[in-house]
Amino acid sequence: MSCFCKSCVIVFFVLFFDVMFFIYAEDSPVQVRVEPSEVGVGNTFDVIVSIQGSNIGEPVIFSEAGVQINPQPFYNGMSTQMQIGFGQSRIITTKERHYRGYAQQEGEWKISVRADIDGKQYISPEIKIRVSKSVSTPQTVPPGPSLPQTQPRVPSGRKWQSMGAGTRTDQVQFDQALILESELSKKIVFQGEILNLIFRAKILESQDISLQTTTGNLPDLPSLDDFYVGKVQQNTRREDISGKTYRVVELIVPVCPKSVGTLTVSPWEWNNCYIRYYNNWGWPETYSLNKSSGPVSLEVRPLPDSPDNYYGAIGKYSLSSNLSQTEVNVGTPIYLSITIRGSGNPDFIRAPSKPNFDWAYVSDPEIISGSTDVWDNVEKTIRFSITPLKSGNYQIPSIEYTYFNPQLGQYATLRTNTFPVKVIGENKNLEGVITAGGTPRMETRNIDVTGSDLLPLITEGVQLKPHRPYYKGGVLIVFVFSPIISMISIGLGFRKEYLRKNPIYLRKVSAYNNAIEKFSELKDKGNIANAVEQSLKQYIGDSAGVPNVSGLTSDDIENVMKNKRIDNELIQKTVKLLKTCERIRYSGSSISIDENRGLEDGFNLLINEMKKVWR
Amino acid sequence: MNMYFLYIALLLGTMGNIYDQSFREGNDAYYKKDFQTAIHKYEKLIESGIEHPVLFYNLGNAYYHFGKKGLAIANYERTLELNPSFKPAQDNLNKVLNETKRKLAIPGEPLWLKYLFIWHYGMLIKWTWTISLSFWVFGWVMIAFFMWAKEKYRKGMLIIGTLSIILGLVFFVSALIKMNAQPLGVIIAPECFVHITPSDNSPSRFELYEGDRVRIEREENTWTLISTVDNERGWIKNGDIFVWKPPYRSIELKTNPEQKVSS
Repeated sequence: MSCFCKSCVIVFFVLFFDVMFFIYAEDSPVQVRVEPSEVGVGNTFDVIVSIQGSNIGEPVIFSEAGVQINPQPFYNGMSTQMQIGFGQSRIITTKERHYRGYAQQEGEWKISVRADIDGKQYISPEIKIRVSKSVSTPQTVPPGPSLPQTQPRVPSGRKWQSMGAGTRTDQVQFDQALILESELSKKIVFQGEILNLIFRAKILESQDISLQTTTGNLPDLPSLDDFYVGKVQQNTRREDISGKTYRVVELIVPVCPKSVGTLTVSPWEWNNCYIRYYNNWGWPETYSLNKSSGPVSLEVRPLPDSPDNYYGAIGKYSLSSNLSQTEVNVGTPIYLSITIRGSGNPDFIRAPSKPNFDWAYVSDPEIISGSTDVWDNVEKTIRFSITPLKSGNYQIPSIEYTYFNPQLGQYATLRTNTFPVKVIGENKNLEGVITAGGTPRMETRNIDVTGSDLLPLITEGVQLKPHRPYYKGGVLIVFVFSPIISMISIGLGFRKEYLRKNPIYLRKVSAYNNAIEKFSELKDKGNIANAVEQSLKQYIGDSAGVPNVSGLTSDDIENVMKNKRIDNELIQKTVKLLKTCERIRYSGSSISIDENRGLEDGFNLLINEMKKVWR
Repeated sequence: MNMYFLYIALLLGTMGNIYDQSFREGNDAYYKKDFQTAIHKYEKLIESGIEHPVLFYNLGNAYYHFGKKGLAIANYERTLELNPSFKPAQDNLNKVLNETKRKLAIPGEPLWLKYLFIWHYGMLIKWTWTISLSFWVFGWVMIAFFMWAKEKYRKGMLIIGTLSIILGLVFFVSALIKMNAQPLGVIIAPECFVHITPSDNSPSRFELYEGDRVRIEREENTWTLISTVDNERGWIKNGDIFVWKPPYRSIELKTNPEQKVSS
């Protein structure tokens, strides 16, 4: 019974703890709330995250597309409390983070938070924020350059804390958290020439500190009133400086100077930004930081005297032209389109003067399309409508378009094509014609072309290196040796051809080598007598031009040699050796090693003698 | 050994920067109308062995504004020798020539030579050599492989090879003519008397003015025998003429340092 009771108690406690665990597990340690829960488009809201645990990682926020939340908290808080339950005490840390959100689109959007707590990953319940149509004034948050965030900071490392805020070393370290630079892609330009103004912020990436600005965005750029400003590009990358990793945010601003002389761009100032860090007690603290980049100067030169057909374009351009129809009825408009492409400030691309014809009415130009966002690749299409008034065959002459090329320091002229036009039908009066198209003028910017008596220089795209004279000796060698090598090659080619066409001669040339080769081949089979006989016959046959020598007897060989008028003594030696070999072959008996050697020596002597005679 | 090469590479890299730096300084001085400094910077570059059409072009502009039209013409001519299609140089040359007193045309090659080598005008000597060598080598390669090729290709190879060798020889002659052509010069003195014999006591035959371009026939001590486009011949003092034959040399500018005024 007591055993049963004990079992019941154990089961009860097990169940109790399981249920308690389940209850606690259901209640996520990550809690999120949004204040206010309903906002207008363009308004900001706060996301308050509260996390409980012993070892808490930095939370990560997930939000839907309609809202944008700055992952950099504007408030960091932490508290510690001791919980006592079931006879055990537990220290619970609560971290609180406040994030600033920005409502972008109307709708109901979900937000959740993920955090690592005591080695496990927890996700908060999803909370919703309702974004309604804005009634209040939208806050100015630039869409492009937003403050790049450093990695989540955990107050684990104490190096920033141990120093104590306010010490000189500490300030130096904090000052290194932000490096600001500004530079120009060119130092000397012509008026209206495009160049890039680069603002660079290098922000220290550290887990212990975080850099924040008051707005949460990049500070405004300095005044660029002296320039026309293009579309800003933002790049982010990482860079190691003195062993520390920095996040480098680069703002590239295409600009072109409005006036001549020395222009100065004011420093890029980051005032009232602050560094958040944890003090010795683990509480968040801030350090105020004011920084600025250095000013940069630019020398702007005036454009040289402009020709008559210059309409203000500065850069590098190409031109294409098109006529909508080449055969048309009187009174029906046709369109002459001129497309100018290239790099430069698009606002300076103005239409050329309209051509005047006695046979047609030409409207004022209009811009029908254009791509002007990126100054490195701009395009503008200008259109004239031409309404023929008289029938006949005409020609639309080439229209000149002059622009200033700062790279060359010269004016360059582009020309449209000439187009033949055939106009049919009855002639009409000018008053009766309704013309299509033709907005009076387009919106463009003028640039003052101040006259200069200086001839323009070429300053860009020049790579200077000392002249290296060509090697005359090498040239001479090539000239002399080319024909020599060629002649040798021709000689070898002729020889190869001759040998190819005369197989008997070829055999004669290679008789010695063939005989030696055959001898060594047959010798390896173990029968020296046969090897000597066959190789000798092969040599004599090849040298004398006898095609099939293997069937010849020693007497036949004697006759062949006599016919070739070989020395009698040599013939006798040859016949004697051949007969010896024949005899050994017919007897079938094996011979001693000495005899073998004797035969081989005899063969070698004889074939070398014959080689001298046959040559 | 590797360190040795590294030092050389570093030295060469630094040299490149020095040239560019000097060039930029010359340009800056030009735009500040300090033409003498600009000329000095550019001439230093030429002294260092730089031969670049843009350098000569900028130098020509600087000389023009410094009031040295003869030297400006010489430098535009040097630009066009290095890059015959350099339009700004041609334009500026025409402008300066229009400002010369006689507007004398440049002495040309003999007519028969012009017609015989009609293609080689405007071609750099370097390219003439390269083309000649390429044709020559190609022709001999074709001939070299002539006996080794299949019989049906042999005739074609022989023809192409022979033609190529002939073209190589023609370009070779063209390059030799260019190499040994009589150099041209420009009068840099405001006014100069052309003497019958190389002597101060000799009576003057005619007069030349700054910017007039002449052919150099011979040099004797301090005198140069020149001929004009009209085949007028005579002797002038070496100091009155500037010859722009390569290798291009720099000029030591002997002027009043206070003279920094645009022409």
